[in-house]
Amino acid sequence: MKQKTALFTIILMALVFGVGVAWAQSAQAEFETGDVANQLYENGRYAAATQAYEQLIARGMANSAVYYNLGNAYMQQGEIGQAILNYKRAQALAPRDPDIAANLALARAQTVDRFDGGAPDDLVGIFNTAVQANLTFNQLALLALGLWFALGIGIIVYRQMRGGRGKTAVALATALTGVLFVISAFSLGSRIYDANNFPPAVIVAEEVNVTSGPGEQYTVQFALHDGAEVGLLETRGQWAKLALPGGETTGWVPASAVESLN
Amino acid sequence: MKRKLIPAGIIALLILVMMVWPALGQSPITAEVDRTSLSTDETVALTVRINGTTGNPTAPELPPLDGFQVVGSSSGTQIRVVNGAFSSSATYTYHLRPIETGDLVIPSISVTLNGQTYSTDPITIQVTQGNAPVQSGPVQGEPQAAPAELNGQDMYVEAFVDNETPYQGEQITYTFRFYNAVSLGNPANYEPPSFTGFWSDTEPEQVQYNTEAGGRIYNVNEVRTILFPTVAGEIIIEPTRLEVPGGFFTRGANLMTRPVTVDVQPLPPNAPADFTGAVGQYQIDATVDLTETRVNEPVTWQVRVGGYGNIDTLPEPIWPETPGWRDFDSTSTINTQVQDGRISGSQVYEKLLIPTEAGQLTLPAVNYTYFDPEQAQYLTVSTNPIMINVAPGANGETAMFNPDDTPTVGAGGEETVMETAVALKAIKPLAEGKISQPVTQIPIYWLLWLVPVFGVALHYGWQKRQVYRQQNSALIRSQQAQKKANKAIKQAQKQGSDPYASASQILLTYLTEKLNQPVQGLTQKELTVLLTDEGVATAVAQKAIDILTTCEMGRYAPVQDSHLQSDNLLDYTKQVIGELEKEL
Repeated sequence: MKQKTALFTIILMALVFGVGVAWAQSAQAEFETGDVANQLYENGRYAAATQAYEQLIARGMANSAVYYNLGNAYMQQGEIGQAILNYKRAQALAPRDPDIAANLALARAQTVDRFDGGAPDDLVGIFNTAVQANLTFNQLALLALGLWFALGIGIIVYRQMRGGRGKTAVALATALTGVLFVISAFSLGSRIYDANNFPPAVIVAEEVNVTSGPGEQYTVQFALHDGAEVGLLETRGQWAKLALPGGETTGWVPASAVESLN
Repeated sequence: MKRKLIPAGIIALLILVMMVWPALGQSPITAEVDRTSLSTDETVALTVRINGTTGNPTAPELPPLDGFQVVGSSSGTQIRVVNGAFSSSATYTYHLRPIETGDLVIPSISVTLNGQTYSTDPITIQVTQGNAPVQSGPVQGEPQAAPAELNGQDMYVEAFVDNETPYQGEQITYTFRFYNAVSLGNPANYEPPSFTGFWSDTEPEQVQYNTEAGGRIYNVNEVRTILFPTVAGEIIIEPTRLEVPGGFFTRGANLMTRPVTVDVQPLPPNAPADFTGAVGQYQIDATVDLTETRVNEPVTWQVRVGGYGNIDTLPEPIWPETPGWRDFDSTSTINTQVQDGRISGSQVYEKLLIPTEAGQLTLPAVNYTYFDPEQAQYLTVSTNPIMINVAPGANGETAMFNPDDTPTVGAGGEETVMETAVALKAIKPLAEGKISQPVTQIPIYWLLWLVPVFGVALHYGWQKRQVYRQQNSALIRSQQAQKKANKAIKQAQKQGSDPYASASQILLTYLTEKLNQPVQGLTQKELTVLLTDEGVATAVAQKAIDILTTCEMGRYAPVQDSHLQSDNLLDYTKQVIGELEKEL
């Protein structure tokens, strides 16, 4: 009986491990040298370096370092919006990198627009922010799945055990796993929801008027400036509908003035 | 059949007429040009063809060609003997360069053959003004003289530099020329030397023109490469190779220029202390974006070094001390162009400065020392000092700007610009790897979520089953009795074990499991009663008793007169068990 349980557990673990390995392999990519781009940057030729980084990204070498360096190249040219956009792209891939966080903070400090109530005050919001600051989307997705497997295994082991202190320990561990699972699954769900309904975007024009509808004939409500971080709700022709943080204030800008992170 | 022949005949006739027609009315002299419209930069080839029947054709008399200059001519004759008949033809080609614009006319050309004079039709040619002066020549500069070695060859290459004794860092131009008097089927492959010992970044300039040498018109392709010697001493530029592919009518060739020796002079030893290596002719000027500012509000100081020379590698000016200012590393932008065969342009350096105190501050003059190879001496140029009025800061500060201050988060980010320049973390080395797809977009990710659900469900079901089996072991044994018995019979048959012993054993085991009580010790009578009590028909019960009896006897002596023989006993047992199963 015990042997069967052990076999079952091993199969489950092998499955989880196999999936992990497969993903690790898919992340392998051909390497294109970025020395030239970095050299241009170091020589102070930021416009040329920008082009070189963009080319590397277009050729598929899109990792956090390229986006970060591109962000720096834009910073050096005073293009705060593009800098923030690329720092955020870099941060999504390497959320724990202190350099990215530092430069993003510098770029944000130079933006004109300030939005109130940016930081969440509820428990879920705080937790979401903490998770986002430490895990990439894929890491979170795999963590939630891993906890789900652990929960399943915990339940099976608990049911299989005959009682005693061991069983109590397994019950506690399984309960803890369950709590962690619920939190991670909730965080994952809210990230998927945000990505689909409120995809992050950045204003990349020096100043742009936000109108009440998709066209210049509509009333100008207010203006946004380079580097303002917004949510992209909808694109219609040459116009894009934005939402300010919080999601309550919305308006339209020319699509060329805003760039989505994804 | 006839219907098909008629159109075929007509076609054949037509073809014959077409072949003969031109010969019928053909004049023995024709003139044609390779183009009827051209610019004054180009030449036109006038070909006069004379067909004679006997003897050598005489050369045509070329009329005065107003508006054209004959820059070359060539001739060829062809003699044919066909079926004893002798014919000859001659081709005279004249290369004409228009010296006027407008509609120019080549008048009719006459030739006398066998005492008779034949003439061609006049040809009108439209001439437009080209880019170059009417005299033609290379695209830029004066017409280039053809080298003395060029004397009637089909192709010729040469290479030279405009200055064989330049100073280190002085611009020289390496010129390669390809003279070609025949038409090439395919473009030639130009293989430049490596220019070791020189700095070269600009695209070589290419020009094309015609020249005349040894009575032939050559098309000249010229490639000019701008070089800056980086080391002093004798440098040999290895030969340039030109691979000319063979065409249908022409043979290929591999041409090579002579190596070119450049004796690079070192810069004179008396260099001023502030000389950092700039060679050429330069000016320097400085500007600021604001002449009025406040403490802690930045000013951009722009210094532009421009002129002729190697702009790309121009050293940065030595920045003077700026008391009263906090300065940040400069950035530079480069603009270059090739003008009259020389590289010119500028490097613009921008430095961000923050005044740290109020008052009238001065940005001092910036000196720039360079070596002028034309004057062969070191020269220094300077900017003018710039005065800037600095008012006290917005918050009344008149003292030092503290870089450790938290960036002011609020409207207007002037202060933070400066901090950015210092605080921006450096770029990272680039490594392989690209973004992996979000795992949530892969279907298998979501399928994996089902695995624990199924795992727990399966375990639950399996556990339930175990409990049920423990609680109902008798029933399960009873349910599986026939299956077990059949299996045992099959095995006994396969192993060839004693059928009497096996049959008795299998049947008794079956009944024990089926009835959930041991039957081994029962007498035949007791067993019959037990079976009938359990609802088995007497006939079926009797069959079972028969088998047991036969087995009993068979184990000790061969059974002769029974219908149950050892070879079919096991099959019969199986059949009876089947019947018992229905009854029990």
